Amino acid sequence: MLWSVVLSGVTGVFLVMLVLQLAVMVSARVIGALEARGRADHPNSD
Amino acid sequence: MSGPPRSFLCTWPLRSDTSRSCSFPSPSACIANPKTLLLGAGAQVGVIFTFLGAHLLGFDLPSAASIAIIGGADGPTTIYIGAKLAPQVLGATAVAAYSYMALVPVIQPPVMRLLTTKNERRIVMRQLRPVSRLERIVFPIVGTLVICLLVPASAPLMSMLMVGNLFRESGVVERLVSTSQTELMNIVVIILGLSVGATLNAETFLRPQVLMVFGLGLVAFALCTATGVLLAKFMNLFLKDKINPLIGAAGVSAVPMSARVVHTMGSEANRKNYLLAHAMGPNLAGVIGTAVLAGVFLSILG
Repeated sequence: MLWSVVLSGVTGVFLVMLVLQLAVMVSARVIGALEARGRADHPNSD
Repeated sequence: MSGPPRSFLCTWPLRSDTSRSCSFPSPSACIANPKTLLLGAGAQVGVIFTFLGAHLLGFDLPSAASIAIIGGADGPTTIYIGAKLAPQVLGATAVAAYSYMALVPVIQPPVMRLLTTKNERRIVMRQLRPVSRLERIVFPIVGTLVICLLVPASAPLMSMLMVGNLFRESGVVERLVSTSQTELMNIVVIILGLSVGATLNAETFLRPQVLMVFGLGLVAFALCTATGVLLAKFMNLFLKDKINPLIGAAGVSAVPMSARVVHTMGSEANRKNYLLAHAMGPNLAGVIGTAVLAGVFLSILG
């Protein structure tokens, strides 16, 4: 039980943070592309 | 015990508009530099070491987990775990967590100085890119989905933290933001303070184990600071744009005190160093990491 908590704790935290990092990077990339397309489609919107 | 998640809801809206004077980290630092999310995980390794140490000193596993989570420097999570896993040490862990959070400027600097060279403390980090409002709105939604799917037991803490962030960043529910940071916050603090205080009767508090809890809490804080800094140094071995290893110490959530300590130490080493915005990333990651670890503890030991 002790070692399952230790291993699950360490791997769990790092895994979640890695997946979250990936999700943040992907969403930033998608949002950046959508905003760039929006600016291209409506150049005078600002 | 739904008070701790509710207090999480209230803490994020407390953030003021400028990162210079923020009382809770903006997600902007994490979004602009996602690498810093790992530093929040690095600091949690100290919690695991403390968990092992507490168990070796004779505490049962649920009590050891409740004591170790003090190192996460997150009051609501400490109370939540204590209430769920080990009510007999709840009072002591809550007092220790909040006391040491106030002592962050005393506990962290010696550890940070010990583990970094002056040249490392002088590293100037590149300015963070501006983050759009849409990215700041998407972050809590994506974060909640990812974390709740991977560690469902941390959902009460994570969802409350993120909904508080969503209130703030959406900019369309000013009344809810205002209520969260004033009336609701005060109500939660009063109820939480009184209910935790009610567990501190003489029979449970005036025992030698309580001194051990305080000692282990201090060790947990120091270890979490150390593991955060060491992970930052390890990451520097592979990174082209070096990060200042001091920001690893902000992985012990303690919002926003540890980020301020990091900033102060960085500017002492190099007057041109402005680390506050960079340290906010690990600071927020530390809050998330502690909630995730709490979820792991709950799902195995609960």
